[in-house]
Amino acid sequence: MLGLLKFELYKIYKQKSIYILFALLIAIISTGGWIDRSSEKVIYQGYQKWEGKLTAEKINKLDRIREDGNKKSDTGQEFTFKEHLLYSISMVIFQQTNFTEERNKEITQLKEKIQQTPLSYKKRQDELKKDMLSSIDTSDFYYPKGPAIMLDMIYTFGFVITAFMTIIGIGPIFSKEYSSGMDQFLLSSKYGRSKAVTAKILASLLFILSVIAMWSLYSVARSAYSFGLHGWKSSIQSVIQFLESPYPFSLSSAFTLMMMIHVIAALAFGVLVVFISAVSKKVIVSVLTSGVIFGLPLVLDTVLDYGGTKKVWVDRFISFSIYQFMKVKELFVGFRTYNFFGYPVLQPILAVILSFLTIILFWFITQWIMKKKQITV
Amino acid sequence: MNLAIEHVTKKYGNHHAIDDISCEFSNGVYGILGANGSGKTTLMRMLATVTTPTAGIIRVNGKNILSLGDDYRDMIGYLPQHIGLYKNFTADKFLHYIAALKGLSKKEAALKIEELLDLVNLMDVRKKKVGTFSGGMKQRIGIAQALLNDPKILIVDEPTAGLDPKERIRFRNLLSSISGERIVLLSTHIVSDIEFIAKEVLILKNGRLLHKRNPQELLHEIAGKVWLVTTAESEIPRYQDMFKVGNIVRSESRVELRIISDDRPSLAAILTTPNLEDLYLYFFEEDFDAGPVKV
Ligand SMILES: Nc1ncnc2c1ncn2[C@@H]1O[C@H](COP(=O)(O)OP(=O)(O)O)[C@@H](O)[C@H]1O
Ligand SMILES: [Mg+2]
Repeated sequence: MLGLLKFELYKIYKQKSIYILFALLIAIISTGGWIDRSSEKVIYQGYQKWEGKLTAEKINKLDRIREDGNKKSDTGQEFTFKEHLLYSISMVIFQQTNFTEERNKEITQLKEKIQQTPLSYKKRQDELKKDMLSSIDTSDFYYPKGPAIMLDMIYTFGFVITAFMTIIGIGPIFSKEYSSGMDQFLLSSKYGRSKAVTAKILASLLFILSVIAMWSLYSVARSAYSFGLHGWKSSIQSVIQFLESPYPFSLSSAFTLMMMIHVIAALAFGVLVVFISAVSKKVIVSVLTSGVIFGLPLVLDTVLDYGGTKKVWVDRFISFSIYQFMKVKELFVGFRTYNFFGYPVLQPILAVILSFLTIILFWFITQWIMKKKQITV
Repeated sequence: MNLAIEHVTKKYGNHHAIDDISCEFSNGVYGILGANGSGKTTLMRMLATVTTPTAGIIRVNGKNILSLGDDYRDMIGYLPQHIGLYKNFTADKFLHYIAALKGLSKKEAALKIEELLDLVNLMDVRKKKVGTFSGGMKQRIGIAQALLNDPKILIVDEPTAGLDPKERIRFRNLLSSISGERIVLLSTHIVSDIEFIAKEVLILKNGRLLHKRNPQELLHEIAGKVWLVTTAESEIPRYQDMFKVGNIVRSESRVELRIISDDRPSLAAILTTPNLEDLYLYFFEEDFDAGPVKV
């Protein structure tokens, strides 16, 4: 088994295309993101004074700074660099405290609603939301730029890198055997229909893990270099994209969790790609099919985001796509639950469950197909 | 070891590639003779389980090979007609990979590969990529991989295609030397491949099994039908129109024709001893291919 696994890994990593593609993708994302460290240092020093507990005193001071800043900008006066920095800090904090107030309002409303509604899915949903919102702790503030950039990497480029590398690296895993005639050896040998199939799937999963490890290491290195490794204690709400997120996470737990979900979804996509390859006679068919499965929801999502309203079923289609699971972000920006026998299941949890089911189902089907497989040409 | 084919049919659409074939094999070499398209490859693929019969059963020692599954595949060695190889693999690596597929341990594999590379005379190119191999070398590595697991049933589909005469003889000797304790099924459309080593010859035509007998019995079939006619060069077309003409031997102004015919083709014709080539010609008048010159 280990021997077969090594051979399958060797075959995957022997493909030149994956190195070219990876270099290309890294080159593309390297065009931005490595920033001027010295000015970043000054910005961080500006923020550092306000880090930690957001006391009433701090908030008061920042309020004054903000009001002064507003006046200044209304009258069209110039800001010094330092003034501008302080002004933006005051805005960030203002936004957050504002939202904390709104959240508290919503919690009160939810409490009232819960008391009025009889036991039902709706009530449980409200309770869940109330509990989550109550657990959010934004009383501490830390400059979150570094972690924010790392989170950003997952849902802007990371998931695309994982997907592209999977499609190109794993897409040929079976179909190449068919088109080269090697399938005759696989299908007529003792382990070619059993252990070799397991080995192929495992090798694919290891390959995907290595791809994720590579780009996330790159991302961590870049972020650590540019912004330092601090700010992890800040809440996920301190990152603008997650301002309205109902999830009570610090950035460190959010990052860990989102990476884990990305990995699980990526593995699910990997097994799916292996399956598609197993039923495709030609490499090009396998690669294109996998490409469409990943890319179609992505394109729809992007196009419709600019084009305005989405139909409900399109929205459902996108939110249950492997693309959305791998991107992870959308799972955490809002409160979305699904009704399972009267109990609300949060979307990220559902995404993880569905990903695991995908892995199990397509792993099983692929093994079964290869047991029955006849050569194609 | 007993291998039995029972009423096996393979259809592609409406076309019968193999049409209700039944026969049995025990240890020894069997030659499967047939023109292109007669169904040799289809039959061997079913024996190698890479494709399944539309109807009928293949049994080994009484058990359906498809229910035996991996246990049956453990018993066989298969050399496909058109072998695909990983171009970037060295001969060594390729054999190690197939050995892993066949469930050999690393140690067993190393020993066996050493032995087989020697047998097929590829020892000095073991570190070369198979993408650079000639047709004959590919064929030989194909034979080596088939033998890795010491198969009880060896299925080789036109293994001598692409070999030069010397390699051909070497291969023939190789096969007969390893045929002792196993069933060897060898398909070919070249008579000389099997003439001397086959225990029995199967004659396949349009998916049907015409004969399965030992070569001597088969030759008996055409005894009294093979003639030698000495005539002028200009007469050749006339004979070719009327009879199945085999070998043509030229000597100075005259030619000697080998003719297969139920009746005496000319008054001067003399009867001669039939060989398998004549037999092939007798069954497959069209696309006649006597193969390379016998050495
Ligand atoms: N995969 C296939 N699909 C359709 N027809 C096939 C296929 N394989 C073989 N055939 C047909 O079956 C017949 C037997 O082919 P084959 O077994 O390759 O003969 P041989 O090996 O004796 O040349 C031929 O007529 C061929 O066209
Ligand atoms: Mg053939």
